[in-house]
Amino acid sequence: MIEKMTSLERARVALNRGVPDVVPVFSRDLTFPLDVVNYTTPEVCRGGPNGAYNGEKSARAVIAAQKELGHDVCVGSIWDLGLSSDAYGGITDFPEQGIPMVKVPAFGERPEKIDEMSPLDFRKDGRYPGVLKSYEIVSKEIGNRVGIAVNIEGPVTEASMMRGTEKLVFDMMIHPDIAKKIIDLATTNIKGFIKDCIEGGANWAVFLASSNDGTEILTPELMRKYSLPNITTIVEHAKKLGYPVVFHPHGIFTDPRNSQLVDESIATGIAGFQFAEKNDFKLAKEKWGSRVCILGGVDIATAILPGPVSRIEDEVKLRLKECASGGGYIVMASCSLHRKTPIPHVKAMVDATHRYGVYPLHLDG
Amino acid sequence: MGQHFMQSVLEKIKDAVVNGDMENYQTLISDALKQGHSAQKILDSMSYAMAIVGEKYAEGDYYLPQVLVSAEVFTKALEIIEPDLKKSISATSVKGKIVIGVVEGDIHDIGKKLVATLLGAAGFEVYDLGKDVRIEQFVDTAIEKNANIIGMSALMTTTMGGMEKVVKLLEEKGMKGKIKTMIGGSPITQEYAEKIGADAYGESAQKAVQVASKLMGIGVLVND
Ligand code: B12
Ligand SMILES: [Zn+2]
Repeated sequence: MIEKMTSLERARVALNRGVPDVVPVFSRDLTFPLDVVNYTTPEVCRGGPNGAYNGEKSARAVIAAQKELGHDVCVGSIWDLGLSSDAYGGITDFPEQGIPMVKVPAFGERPEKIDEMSPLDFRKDGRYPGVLKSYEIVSKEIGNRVGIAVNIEGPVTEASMMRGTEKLVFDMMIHPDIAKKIIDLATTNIKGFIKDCIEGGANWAVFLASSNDGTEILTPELMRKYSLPNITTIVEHAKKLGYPVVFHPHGIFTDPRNSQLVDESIATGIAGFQFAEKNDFKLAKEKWGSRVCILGGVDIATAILPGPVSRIEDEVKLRLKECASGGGYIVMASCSLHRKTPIPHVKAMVDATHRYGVYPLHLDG
Repeated sequence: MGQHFMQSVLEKIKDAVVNGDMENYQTLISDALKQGHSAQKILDSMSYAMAIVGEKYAEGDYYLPQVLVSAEVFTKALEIIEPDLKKSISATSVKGKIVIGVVEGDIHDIGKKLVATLLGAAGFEVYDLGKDVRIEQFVDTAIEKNANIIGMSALMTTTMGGMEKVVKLLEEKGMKGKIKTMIGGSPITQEYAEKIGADAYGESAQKAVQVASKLMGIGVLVND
């Protein structure tokens, strides 16, 4: 019998590839908590004076969602993808009940503007001060027992927000100098944001949300050239601050055409790799489970959104069988969680993990 | 070397599109025109190339950036031959008119761009409304342009509901059936298309061409 741990402890142990008391859950709930407390999107994301981000309301939402669902790790704030672009003069839309979307990326039309730009000061610029405020409140209220992750985009993904994904891909292929400048600026900002969030009370790990850093968007060559070297830099920076990094690039990495990239990602020094949809988790655990913590596994489109609860439970049980033995596994949905995701379905993922993921595991039969 | 020597300029154009060769397409097109190839013949080679690109992507042999660059070469090359094409093409040789866009609340527009490009390459006249497109805008533009098909893309389960609203609005306006609807995007399925009363579903850009051709009652062009 393993002694009972706090959420934070079990998340730390699992990320370190150890065996905790029970498999932890990280529900990377970026706008999902807004539904738990019934806030509108603009009320939080630009609900303070002069369109500032409302840190108090963000924290209320994050804390309420954690209390209601009981997941082991949360993100320290409500998060949207427009923050950096906005800080450099871009425009983001905030639908009342929807997910914010970048309308005009800061460097969409004039990438040369980047030469005049300096790295962001997160305590002053754009909507970031409210985000940091949220981390502080969440940390003060639940940080002694719950894991709080720094959630920030990976280098290419973050650069895509400022430039536009398609334009950035063209830059990489045709104007590599422009691509490099934007991605370097993004990397500097990511490092700065990590430091400030940790000072604000993030206590678990850095999560690099990287939908555009993987083979869903890039060729393996572009991933090697523009993403992985910057991941190395970010990992070194986070390690100096005492924090491990989880990388979440999108792509089918258990496909033999791409699997070498996981080895190369592990070589950057990451502690965890979250696989997105359509990956083979059994294979992932066998191939990489001894070198990196495996995260992910519950598909959003086919299980969490449509349900029913029994289907989500079955998927959790299957993933536990494939990945949990010997520790080093953290249950997550296949990507981030957002508004309009049924709350009982997310709760089902958390509950099933905590019910069936108790070590020593008894999953057969 | 030997093979290059044998290759006709039209084959070279095809290869330039397949390989996303931004450097040589202009010279190749002007060579082809000088040699007396019609703009239509050049377009056929380029369209065939885009069909190959779509297939490679569907098979996982090509990654997205390669498709985007091929699409760019195609679009740029098309601009060069367009004036000649307009002279030779009568309205009847257009396969059909399609209004396409990403539904309201959704900014995922890369898949839609590929679909629009391949449809254009296959001979459809395409009006691309971009991303985050309002329900009315789909229907109004389709009526205004006298379109045969409305194509809709959604990448999020939270936005795909917009597709059903477009189908309903067409119905209200008595246009359902006259203007066909075709839908796609990663959360979309054939089942969903049937459920909301859309006329067709396509799982890839390559399939989109087949499906649109079928809606127009024509076979898919395969030359070579
Ligand atoms: C790249 C990406 C992004 C980029 C988009 C860049 C851009 N300009 O498009 C960025 C980073 C900006 C982004 C943002 C967000 N994203 Co996103 N993103 C993706 C990702 C990883 C890949 C999408 C893609 O471009 N694929 C490549 C293209 C070529 O494929 P495709 O679009 O499927 O198109 C093909 C076919 O579907 C078909 N097709 C497409 N359209 C049509 C139309 C017709 C008529 C036909 C016949 C066929 C057809 O043909 C295409 C070519 O073969 C997906 C994951 C996934 N598996 O889809 C998530 C995903 C779509 N995103 C998701 C989310 C949640 C978001 C955000 C909300 C995240 C956030 N933190 O804020 C925001 C959205 C904001 C908004 N309001 O829209 C979720 C949606 C979940 C859900 N609820 O359903 C996904 C599924 C990830 C996940 N697993 O959860 N994202
Ligand atoms: Zn993801």
